[in-house]
Amino acid sequence: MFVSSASATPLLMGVFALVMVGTYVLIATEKIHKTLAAAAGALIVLVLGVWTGVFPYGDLYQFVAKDLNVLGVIIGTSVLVEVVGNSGLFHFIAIRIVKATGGDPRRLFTALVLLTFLFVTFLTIVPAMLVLSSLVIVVTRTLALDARPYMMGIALAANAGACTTLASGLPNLMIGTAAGLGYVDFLVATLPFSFLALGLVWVVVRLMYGKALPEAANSAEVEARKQQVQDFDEWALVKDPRVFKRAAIILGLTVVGFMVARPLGLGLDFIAVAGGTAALFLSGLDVEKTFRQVNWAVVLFFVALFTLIGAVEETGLLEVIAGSLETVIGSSVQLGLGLFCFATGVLSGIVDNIPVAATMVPVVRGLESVDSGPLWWAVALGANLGGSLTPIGSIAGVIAIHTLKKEANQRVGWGEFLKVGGTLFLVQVIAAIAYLIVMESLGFLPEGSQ
Amino acid sequence: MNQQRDIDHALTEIDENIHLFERTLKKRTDLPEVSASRVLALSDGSNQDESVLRLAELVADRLGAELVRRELGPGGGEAPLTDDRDRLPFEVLEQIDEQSIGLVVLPTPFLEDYPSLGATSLGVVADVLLARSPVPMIHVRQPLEDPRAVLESGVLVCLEADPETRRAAAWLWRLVPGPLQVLVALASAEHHAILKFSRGEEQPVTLEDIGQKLGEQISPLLATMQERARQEGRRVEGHAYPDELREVLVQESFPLCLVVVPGREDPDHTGPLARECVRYTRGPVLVVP
Repeated sequence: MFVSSASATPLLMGVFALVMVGTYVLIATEKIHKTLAAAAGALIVLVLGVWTGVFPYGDLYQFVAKDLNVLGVIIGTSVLVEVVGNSGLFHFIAIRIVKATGGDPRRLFTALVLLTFLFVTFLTIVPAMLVLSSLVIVVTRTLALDARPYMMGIALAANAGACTTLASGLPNLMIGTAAGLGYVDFLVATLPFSFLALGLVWVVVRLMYGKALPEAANSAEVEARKQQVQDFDEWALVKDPRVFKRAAIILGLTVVGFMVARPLGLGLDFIAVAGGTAALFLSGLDVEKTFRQVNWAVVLFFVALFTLIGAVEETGLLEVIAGSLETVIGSSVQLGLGLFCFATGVLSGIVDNIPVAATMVPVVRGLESVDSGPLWWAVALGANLGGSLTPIGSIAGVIAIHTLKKEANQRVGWGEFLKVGGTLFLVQVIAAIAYLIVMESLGFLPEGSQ
Repeated sequence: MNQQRDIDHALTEIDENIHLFERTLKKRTDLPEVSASRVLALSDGSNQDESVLRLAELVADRLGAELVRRELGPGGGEAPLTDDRDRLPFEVLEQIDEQSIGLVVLPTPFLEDYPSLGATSLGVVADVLLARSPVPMIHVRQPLEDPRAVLESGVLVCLEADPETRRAAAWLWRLVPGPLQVLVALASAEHHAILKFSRGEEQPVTLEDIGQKLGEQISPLLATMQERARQEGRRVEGHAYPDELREVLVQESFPLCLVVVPGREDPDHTGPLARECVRYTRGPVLVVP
């Protein structure tokens, strides 16, 4: 049964919307693996689209091609992070920082949230959390400290760090690609706010867990703690100093490459793949084994998600949603900033922020009567900050809670997380909206090239 | 939930990272205090007697201990057990107990000098003392041209950083002022692991796993010795030997120095290690029970 018309009827849009919402519900509820859920949704809309004549089958490749750079960045950075992680560099930096705190619980807390922020900025959330949640467990065990404030601190700091650059998080990459925003644009627009968001993490977690961050009772205790952290040997995990130095140089060059990619006419995916290849070439690691460490399920998830969103976009449904939003916000950019930042944040706290960002991209692109330029930033900040709202809002929170339970036998339930993370989310989102309004009124928000 | 598998995967990686970070923690393993107020020198009329006496004098001097001498009679410890001689080692043990002897120096001739003794026995007195002595013993294997030079450097042969090994390290530290080596016997460790596995104590492991495990166990002790060495301007090196220990000890290049080895009565444990060291080392061997 073929429909000859290329424009979708409201009924057909409704069917596509149902499939998309159903897929998101499956992703959010984790009833089936998110890659499988996205693949099933993509297959259904693909068949529907082709059979009803909304788009020809060949358009499928256009849906994926638009965001192909995202896949390149995921694969390239995965290889790079694997090689650099193997060199012992991340563990080395982490231990150096811990030793610099002298084992003081409050300085340790500050150092750990700062370190998380730094690691997420350059490595994204998952690799950073795998290293730092382990460090929190070992250090708090060694110093006999309550692990909860530290673990919650790093989980929430990770979401703040994810706002920082174009490569800090996958939502940023999708938004940056769609809006034509570069790495430096992100640094200009979001870096100052990221520091503000990090400061808010520090304040909120310290207020909520003040008693769990004790001051040393006497000088003997201070000395004992200092001695305990001095017992960590940062060189112990550096297997080969030559590989260690090379890994540090390649990582540094890759970060610089991200910054200068645009002026050089290159994409972030090229820089990431070049960095990963150079790291692999100079490390002597087993190539096949290293490639097995790439999260191929996430790569396939993106392929399926881009297909799903692309197919739904072809029906005109997302333009209809954009039109509805325009009637709400009128021509007020300020109202648009507030609405998009808050809505994206709340949705990202409930569903994975990647499908939320992927859906918001065509919606923002479909706005006609409002200047969509500033709204990209609202979506970017909302998608990252939303992770702090609930325990399932971000992989950082999920890792923190499960690690606490397994390794420290400490439970952080929904109530406790909502109290800390929910409070933080509200404060951060309000701050983000205010920040964006001020930046927009001053004309400091970079505009994309698309 | 299917994504529980993702979380489990992440938790496994976190477990590995925790293990890595714990490996970076230098565990403090202080050397225990060791001392002896009396050193007993045994002689049996063999050509090692003079070396035993000179070495015992040096050791007593370094420990600030009194030297006590005992004649075992011609042929002493090396004669086969007979009704007349089977009391000898037990009389030595009684003397150790009654006179508060803290260390014994005895002749234990090298195997090639007494081929008729067979492959396993070290001689009557040495055999019994090796199994039962409550105090450290220095087995003098062959005449020493310069006993003082032998005490200028030393090697600790060990399997793990158990209390016996730490005591052995402390004795080595006390008696030898010069450079030291810590030799981790991997092949024996594999044997040890297999024995433990056969007793249902742990899962089978590869030689590589054992090497890593041993490294983790020995490294705190080695780190402690190296830290002290730095403070005192000395040198301590650690080596792992994956070969048969015997092959290492009989090498011409193996230094003629004091070899120290932990020893226990448990025949499945370091007992064979101590016996193997005494059998194949040309220099004096200090066995620390």
